[in-house]
Amino acid sequence: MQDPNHPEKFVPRGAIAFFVLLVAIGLVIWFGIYFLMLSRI
Amino acid sequence: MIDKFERNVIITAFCLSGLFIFSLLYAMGARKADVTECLPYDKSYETARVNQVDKSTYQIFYVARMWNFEPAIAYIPVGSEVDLFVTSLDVVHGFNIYNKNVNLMGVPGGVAKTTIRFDQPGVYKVVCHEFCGTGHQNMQAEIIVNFPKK
Repeated sequence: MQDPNHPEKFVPRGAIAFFVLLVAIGLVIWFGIYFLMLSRI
Repeated sequence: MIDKFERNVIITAFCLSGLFIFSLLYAMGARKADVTECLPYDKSYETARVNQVDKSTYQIFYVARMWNFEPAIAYIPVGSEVDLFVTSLDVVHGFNIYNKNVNLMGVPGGVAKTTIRFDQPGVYKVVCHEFCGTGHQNMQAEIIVNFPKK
C-alpha cells in the first residue's frame, strides 16, 4: 500500500507518447498538403 | 500551480499554432498563394469568354451548367497570368484544375474569382468536383497552354 507521506512519482509515459505521435502525424499531414499546395502555385 | 504536463501541452499548442499561422502568411505573402474571392454578381458573367488584358494577362469567364463548362477549351500562351471567373447557370458545380492550386465553386447567382499563372506548357484538365447530376463525371474542360492562339 502506498505511503501518503511519500507519494509515488507518476509519469504518464503512454499519454506523452500518444500526444507526441498525434502531433507528429498531424504535422506530417498538414505540411504534406501545404507543400503540395505550394508546388502547384 | 499548473501541472507541468498541462503547461507543456499548452506551450506546444501555442508553438504549433504560431508555426501554422506563419506558414500560411508565408504562402500568401512570399509565395503569392491566391485566396479565392467572391465577386458581386451581374448578368455579364453569364457569357463565357476569354479576354486578353495585355501581353501576358488573360481573363477566362467560365460558365458551368449541367454538364459542361464553357469555354470548353481555352488557349493560353505559356507564362501567362490568368484571372478565372466562375459562375453557374443551374446547380452548384465544382471547378478544379488538375495539378494546379485552383479549387472553386460555381454557384448560381455568385461569382468566384482566382488568379493563376501558367509557367509550364501542357493541357490542364478542368473537372467538376461537386456532384451535380447524372452527367457529373463527364463535366470537364481544358486549358491548353503554349498552343498557338486560335
